Amino acid sequence: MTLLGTGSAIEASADHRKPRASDPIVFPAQTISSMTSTICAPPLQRNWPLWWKLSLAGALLFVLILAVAIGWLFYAGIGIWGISWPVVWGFAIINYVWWIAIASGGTFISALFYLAEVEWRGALNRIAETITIFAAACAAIYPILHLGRPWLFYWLFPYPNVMGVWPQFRSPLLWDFAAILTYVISSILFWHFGLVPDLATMRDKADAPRTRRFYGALALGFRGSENAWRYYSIGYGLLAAVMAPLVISVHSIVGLDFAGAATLGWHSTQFPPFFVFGALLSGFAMVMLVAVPVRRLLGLEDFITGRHFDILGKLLLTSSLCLSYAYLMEAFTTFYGPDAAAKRLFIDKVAGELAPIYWTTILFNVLAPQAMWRRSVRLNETLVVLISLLVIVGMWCERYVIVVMSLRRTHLPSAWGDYTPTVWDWMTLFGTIGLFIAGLLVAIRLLPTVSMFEMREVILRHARRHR
Amino acid sequence: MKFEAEAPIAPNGLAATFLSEDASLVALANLNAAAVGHARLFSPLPPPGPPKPSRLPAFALLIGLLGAAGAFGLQSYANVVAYPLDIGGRPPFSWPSFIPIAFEAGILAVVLATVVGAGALCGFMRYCDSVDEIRALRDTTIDRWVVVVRAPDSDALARSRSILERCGARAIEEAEL
Repeated sequence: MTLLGTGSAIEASADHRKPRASDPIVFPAQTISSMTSTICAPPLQRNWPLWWKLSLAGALLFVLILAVAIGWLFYAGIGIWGISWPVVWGFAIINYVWWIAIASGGTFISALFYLAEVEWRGALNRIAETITIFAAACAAIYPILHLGRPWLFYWLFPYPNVMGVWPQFRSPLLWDFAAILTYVISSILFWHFGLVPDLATMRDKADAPRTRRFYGALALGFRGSENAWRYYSIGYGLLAAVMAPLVISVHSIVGLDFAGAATLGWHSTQFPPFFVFGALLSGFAMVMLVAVPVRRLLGLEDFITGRHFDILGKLLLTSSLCLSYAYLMEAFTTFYGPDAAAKRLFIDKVAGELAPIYWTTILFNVLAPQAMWRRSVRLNETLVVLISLLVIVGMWCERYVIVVMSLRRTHLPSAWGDYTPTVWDWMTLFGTIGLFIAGLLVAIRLLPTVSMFEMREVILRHARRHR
Repeated sequence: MKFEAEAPIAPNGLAATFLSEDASLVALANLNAAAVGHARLFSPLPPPGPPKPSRLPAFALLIGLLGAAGAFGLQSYANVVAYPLDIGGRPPFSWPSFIPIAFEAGILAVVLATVVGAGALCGFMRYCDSVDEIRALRDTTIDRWVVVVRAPDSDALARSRSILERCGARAIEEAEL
């Protein structure tokens, strides 16, 4: 029995709740009928358990805190944050880069692995895409708030105006605006497009007229005709084909935000791939972090199996090794180069006042994921959650190191400064975490958590193989 | 005043439910071969086989290239003609720095063109259709395959029924299409 109910399909999965190395991608006992019933059951259930209500209430409390923090920011200005010369990019940019990286991992799973025709993706792509949507929404808040006069954000759009001015197209910050806007719009459309057949299933499974109307409106009249499937598959493939390069471009441009500035520690050609590696690591970590409880709470053990944990663990390890290489190259190029100020900055990072943050980054992003070399760790839900959480925290520390440490120690010692975040900085950070969790909770309440039409293909393919 | 009773509308179609994809595909092929009417398959997952050629990718590419070219042109116009600024001595037509936004605009145009184009071809937003009255169709998005055939006359309708029964249809429903 799960926390949601006692459906027969759900009960059937009680034998294999614990991930095992021998697990298949989907358990053979599942048919397309039982799978559809299992996936549809939670969203169609009228009353949700206490854990969901309490979690949502907690998350909404943080959303309220975010609203207060943003409201005060609009009234008092960005002086309420800890930023000041020379550290003019504080939590806003740290959190922005952190969130957009988390978002990117979801797109890698949903788009890149679709193009590679990877079977295991079917069970995880909906979770990954939902993470992308809400993480990208959280990320998009920060650059707007950081503008100083957020209500004039539309000045970033290139449009003819009475002032006769145009945006500065040669600045990576404007490239970033275009990239994030494209990414958010494309991710929402990709997400909804991928949901359409499953929303049609929900429409046809629902009994209550109001529920049928709700899912029917979202399903856009999809009926599963041969013609509709034909164009749907082509459209989905096309979207996946452009989402994969888009996500790489988005995070490369985030890297260029830094690399384009003549700031110590930032002005490096390795920043675009370095940021993409970081996005991979934090994205995979967040998918694992969300998949473990969702699997248990919604009774999805037959679809998110030990095989998925095994693969995600390996992906986490691989991306951690890529990021470790980038950390190593950062140290190497600093000392291989002639810039004394860069060397001084690096020594400040590893042995200065804020060195614990640097070493936390190394410990959480480089050393902790090495445990994933062991299969027993990859299949242990508690350890998987713990390591994923460490990586998520480690990636935030990495952004703190990049943003704050470089800005506080400029070329000119007389211009050195310090940075202390204020309570408003922390409120905004935790507020967006609340927004993200609230979004995920609402999504699992209303939408199928696993892509049913893709799981049907997997189940039929497996059934044919074993025939 | 006397009202004339409306003449009952004779069903002109059939909807046959199948439990397997293979049987539904055989039935569809047989109906098409017998040319008894317009037959359509409704299924819970995409039909097997390689995708048939479509102009949708070419359309999306064209719109994407137009989007990218438009964004590049806009940046060039703004920086060279409308608002030339000397930033660090860089020339007004700094074309390499116009590429990222042109790329993003191209991607956005492809995504919009794909969603609109594929949506139009898939029949998105068509909330009402004559097949909606068929009860069996509610199961096609769950776990059933339904072949719907619209026959021109009663003879074709009878032949369609015979073919569907031969192919192992679990249930056959009459429909007004």
